[in-house]
Amino acid sequence: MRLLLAFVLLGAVFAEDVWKAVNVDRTIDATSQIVKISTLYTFENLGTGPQSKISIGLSKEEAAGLSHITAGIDGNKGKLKVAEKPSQQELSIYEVDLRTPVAKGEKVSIRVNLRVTQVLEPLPVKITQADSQFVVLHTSAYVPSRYEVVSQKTTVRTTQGGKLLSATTVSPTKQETERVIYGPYANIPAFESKPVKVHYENNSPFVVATLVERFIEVSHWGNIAVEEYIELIHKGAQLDGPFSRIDYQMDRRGRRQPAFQQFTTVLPAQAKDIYYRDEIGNISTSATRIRADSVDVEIRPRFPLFGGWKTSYVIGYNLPAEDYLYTKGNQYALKTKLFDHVFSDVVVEKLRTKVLLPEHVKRVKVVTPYVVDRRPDELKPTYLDTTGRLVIVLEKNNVVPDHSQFFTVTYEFDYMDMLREPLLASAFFFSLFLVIIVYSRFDFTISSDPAKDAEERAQIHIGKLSHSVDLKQGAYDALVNSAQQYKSTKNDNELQEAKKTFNATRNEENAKLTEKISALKADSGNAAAEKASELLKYDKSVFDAVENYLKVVEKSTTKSAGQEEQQFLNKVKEARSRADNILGSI
Amino acid sequence: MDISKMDRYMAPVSIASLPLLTIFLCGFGLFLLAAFTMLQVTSTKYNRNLLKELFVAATSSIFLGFGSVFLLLWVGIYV
Repeated sequence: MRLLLAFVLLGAVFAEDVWKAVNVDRTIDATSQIVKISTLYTFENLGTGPQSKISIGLSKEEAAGLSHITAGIDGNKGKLKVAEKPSQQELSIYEVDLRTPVAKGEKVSIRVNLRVTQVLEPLPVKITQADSQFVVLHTSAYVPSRYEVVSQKTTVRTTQGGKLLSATTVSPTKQETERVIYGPYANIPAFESKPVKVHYENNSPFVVATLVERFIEVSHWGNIAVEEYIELIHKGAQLDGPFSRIDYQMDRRGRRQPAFQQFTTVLPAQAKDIYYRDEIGNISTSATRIRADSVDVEIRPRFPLFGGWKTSYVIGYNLPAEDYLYTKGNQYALKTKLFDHVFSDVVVEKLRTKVLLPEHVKRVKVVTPYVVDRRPDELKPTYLDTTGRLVIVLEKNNVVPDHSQFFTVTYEFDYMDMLREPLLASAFFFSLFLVIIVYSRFDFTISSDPAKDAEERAQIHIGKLSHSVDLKQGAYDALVNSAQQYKSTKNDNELQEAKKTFNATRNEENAKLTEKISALKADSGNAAAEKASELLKYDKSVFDAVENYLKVVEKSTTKSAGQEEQQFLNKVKEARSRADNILGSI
Repeated sequence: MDISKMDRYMAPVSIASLPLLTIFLCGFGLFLLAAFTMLQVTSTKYNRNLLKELFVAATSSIFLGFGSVFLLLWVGIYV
């Protein structure tokens, strides 16, 4: 059994050594604060059968500062899967899955790109304002490799136009103005390393964002609000001695000082309502340039950042929802950047992206292009909220511009919930109205005032009286109208019908009037009641006039109104103004 | 669900039409508010009409509620 296990283990070891690196060409770009290592490996399959997995070795320093790793077949745009494996003999191992197996004896070329942060050491550690910044790059002349390397070469690119103070020599080594070339070396065994130091001038500001907090607030009313809170610190050589603004402005190095003077933040093309401010308020030293496919914000902080100095600010903008939000039924998907441009070659120690979704979302799923730490969800109550909005919190350490990629948040949302906010506002207004309605029904008078009460009641009676008079007058008018129609049609039935309804209305309203007048008598005394009863008295004369008018109409043969008819009509009209006079006088 | 099978999300109200909606809805809501005030100050304790008051109040608050939400959106508070 033990023997079998030993064989299996031995087999595993041998099985892994099925590759040989025929040629390795490595370029280390150390011109900015991010060390960009691009390695082109050419592997040959020495195994017994087709192989599809290759291990890539990273030195300890590289692995510690590693922020981003990608691998791809050379000349092919597709990316290969890279997975971290347990380290072997001081080398961190990353396994690349080739997807299509490589046959025995065949070769494959793989390009591996690394982004390593915070490995360049400033030396000297402190400089004055007039000095330039020098840094030391620690690396190995031999490419760290899990397999034997037949032929290899390493190129270290240092700053353009900068001084190269020293570089460890591992023969053959070539020093040029902007680069150091190690190699070619032949037949280097696996796990072999040769530490070298390159000391050179690097004035690019080593500005690190210790925190980038990114808020993405989704509103289904058609807007996505993005806000970023950014804390910056210059982690290059510390400024020694005083700072003079005159010297700073007269410095002939201009932009090539190791201070962080200004930068450009590239925002999406649809960004609008852009703001840039800090604790004090708006920082006016910024400008936006609208380009074809982006909006560039040129930012100049309140002061230049020298080594060891720090600052913080907030930048925010609005995006239209239709470009980032997708829907099908009650399913919604937000597709936006997990991390966006701050300035070129930025290093972010901690990225925290918060997505504020509308209230009452369900079944939230997050799909990210790389591994992030999803923190517990939070609730944030804002405008017109009841329970608060769901906040998705995603965190990632050690982020570089290559992490600026899209991620997706899918969730379920009931469209009817859109109505909740306006209805909430309506309910608020309605409650105010209710308070007034209830308040006006309370009686706060200390002593009762019967005279005033009676007057108020009398007002109501008069109102009702005038209503009755109106109705009656309407009845008269209707009758006169039908009489005039009768003149042309000579339809007896219609006229009789009109008479009947008129009589009914008149009697009803007269009864009401009598009733109201007696009520008025009780409330405001005889004087008013007597005046009111005139409404009934003159009604009789009007009634007679109408009767006569009808008789005349029935007799008349002409279509036009005769003199007599006109007289009666005038009487009816007169009645109207008399009634108004009486009502006004009470 | 796959995002490529989804449609672009369109807001129920386009941002360009917010000012018009706000002015119309808030304006009519305020007009009804004025009517409600008239009703309150002119009526005495003998001729109050609860149903009429509630009706005017409810209509006014619906208009004011929607109008004020659109006002918030117009000024940039995306609720």
